[in-house]
Amino acid sequence: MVEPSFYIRKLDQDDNVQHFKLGNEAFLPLKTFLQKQAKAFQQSNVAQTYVALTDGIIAGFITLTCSEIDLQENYDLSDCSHANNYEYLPAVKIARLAVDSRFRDKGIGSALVDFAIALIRDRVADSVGCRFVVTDAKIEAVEFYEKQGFTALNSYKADVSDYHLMFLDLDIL
Amino acid sequence: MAIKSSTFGRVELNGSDADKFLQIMNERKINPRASAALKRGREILKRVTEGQSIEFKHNG
Repeated sequence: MVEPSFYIRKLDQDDNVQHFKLGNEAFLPLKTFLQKQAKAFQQSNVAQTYVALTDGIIAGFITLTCSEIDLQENYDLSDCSHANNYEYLPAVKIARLAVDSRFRDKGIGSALVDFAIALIRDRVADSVGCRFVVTDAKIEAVEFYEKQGFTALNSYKADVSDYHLMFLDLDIL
Repeated sequence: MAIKSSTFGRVELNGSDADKFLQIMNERKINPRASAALKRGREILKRVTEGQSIEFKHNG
């Protein structure tokens, strides 16, 4: 019998990543990333992947990496005018998020994002400074991220790309 | 195109996207959905730190 619960922890180099199923060719890059790249990214400290495990099976994963937001022009940051002199604002990016097709609709994806928001706000931002969480969401995922508190920028409505930048301001939670 | 974003890297905004971003940032309006996500996330982070499991969401 499958456990009615899951654990979240960092991806381990010994984890079996070969049985992860997504059930749709459109998601193939996510599966390929987990199976062929995630461990190397982790080992080289380029990105960290956290997995949701149930009965020892990877049911979902989220990958986080450092990022920055470049507004190309001057800021007008009302709550910290000193920061207006800097060219970029610090962010963490949700680079990958996927849930195995056998474990959908169990709250695993939203739990991974909730976990990431708390991790970034309370551990990363609290330790080294980080203002935003950002992600490039596929159009099918925009509603999901909006429910998690993310905001989509204009280009989403203009529908000019397959991916839509979404962000969450950690300073006004 | 007013947004440039690489999967494992930086985000560049300009034009109307940069304007909207600054507008939202400076409004400093609390997002109840984000606040709720942080509250849930803190409980999950606590469980993760303590090595405890998280219940599946029950539908219906």
